[in-house]
Amino acid sequence: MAKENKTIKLGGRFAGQVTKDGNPVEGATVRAYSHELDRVFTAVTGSDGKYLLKDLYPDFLYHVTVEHDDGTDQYHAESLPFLETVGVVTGSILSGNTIRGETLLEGDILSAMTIITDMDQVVEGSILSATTLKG
Amino acid sequence: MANALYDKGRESFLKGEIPWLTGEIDVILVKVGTGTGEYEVNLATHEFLQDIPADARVAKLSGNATSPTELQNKTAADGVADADDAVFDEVTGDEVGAIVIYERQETDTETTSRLIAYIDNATGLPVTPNGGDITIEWDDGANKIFKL
Repeated sequence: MAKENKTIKLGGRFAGQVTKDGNPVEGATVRAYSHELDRVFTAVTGSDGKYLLKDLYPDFLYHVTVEHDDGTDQYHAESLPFLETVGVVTGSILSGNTIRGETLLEGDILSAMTIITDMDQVVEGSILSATTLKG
Repeated sequence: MANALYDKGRESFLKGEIPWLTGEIDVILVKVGTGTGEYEVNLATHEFLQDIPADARVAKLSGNATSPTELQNKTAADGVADADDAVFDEVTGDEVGAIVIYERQETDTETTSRLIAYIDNATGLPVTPNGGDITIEWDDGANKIFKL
């Protein structure tokens, strides 16, 4: 076998910012779930709306969700398609709808979510799941 | 498991027993598993190099032909440990499943060289050596190698 130099790289993660109407959202829960690993990684946004999901395993696909409920504003968003992290992926959840007193049906598209990777690749997604939120 | 600091390593930092900037900080590539000659980490109890079976140590910085014998240009700003990327020259041996960072005492004295960090979650792991170099690129984000 020919010699081949190899690299081990630390820092598989998703980082970004949750905003609503252009303002940072504090306390939103961001989760990255890997079906293959059956494991979820969780982060909560700070006062600047930023989050960091770190120590993600490389070469797996992650389903990223954002949830927020501060008693007034509630929303739930999911990534589409499943995202793969190899190194650093940064992005921003650009929109978040205020949803109160509505029962959502599966497939309802409530908001657009854009994640921009470090390769300047834009991954667009939408809400997919049925969610009931109390008002 | 996730990348983590050894509990005893944390304790040693608080006691001032590990001088990150002035000490000789070494890195080894280890074979993981539960069998003979494999390393099964125990973050709560493992403290010294002797806790890692010798046969599980696939490669180390010290002793290689051209790579530095310890981490270079270490920094500690804001409690964040960083250093130049680490290069292992012409690595051969068993599959590497994890990286262990430790503070080398004298000539790798087994009973006093303190374990610091265990890393098994990184792009490129596990890796099977084939005689080429293996480079570890530390995180360029906020936490670099690790944060206390």
